Amino acid sequence: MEEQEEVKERFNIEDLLKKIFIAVAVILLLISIFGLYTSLNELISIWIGYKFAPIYRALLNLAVLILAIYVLNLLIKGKKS
Amino acid sequence: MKVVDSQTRLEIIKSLKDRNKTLSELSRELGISKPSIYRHLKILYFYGIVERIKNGNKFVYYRLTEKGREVADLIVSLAVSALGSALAYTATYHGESVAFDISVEQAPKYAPAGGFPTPTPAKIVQTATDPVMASILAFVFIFVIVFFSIKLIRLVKSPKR
Repeated sequence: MEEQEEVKERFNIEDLLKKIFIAVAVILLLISIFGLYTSLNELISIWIGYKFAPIYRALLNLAVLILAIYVLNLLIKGKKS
Repeated sequence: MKVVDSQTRLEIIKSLKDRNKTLSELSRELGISKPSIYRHLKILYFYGIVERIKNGNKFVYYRLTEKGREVADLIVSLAVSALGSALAYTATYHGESVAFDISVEQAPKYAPAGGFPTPTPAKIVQTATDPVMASILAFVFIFVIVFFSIKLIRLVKSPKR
């Protein structure tokens, strides 16, 4: 009986650790995506003149939007199945 | 690589993207002899890009496989991105040189005496567009937009699992 409880407790700790690692990974992912987005905007400011910069920013935002919708669709379809 | 190194094979993939076709249809559409089309189809079949289907009648149809569709999507995305990139290069190259000339020649004329500083060529150069970088950025952005749009449309259209 005691042994069973010990095993259960160990599993709980493992599960908790797994969840913590996933949360940390997701936070790192969000930070890197945000960093990439701001870096790309800075690149546009440096390399593209004021006349064309809005077009490039629009293209970048459109690309991000489509990627986000695609990932969301994948997640939703994966959940449904 | 062998799949996309021939213009005819690319044409065949593009043609089969719309619907399944027979050897004769492909030959007529592309204006190439049947043996030549057959040779290209054999290579595409070997690499798993196309598959043969018999519809009960005597005709054999060729159809793009899932891998074939992905290759077709990639080809279309690359073609559109290359076009967009060339357009971006041309637009930024010409547009920026005109802007530079006008700024240098006319800016001193409109600047009030003792008012805001007259723009110097060095300052204008700093904000000028680099056509090469502009075309590279355009290529990357357009590729992501087109490729994932096609994938998204396919995902939405596909039947629910």
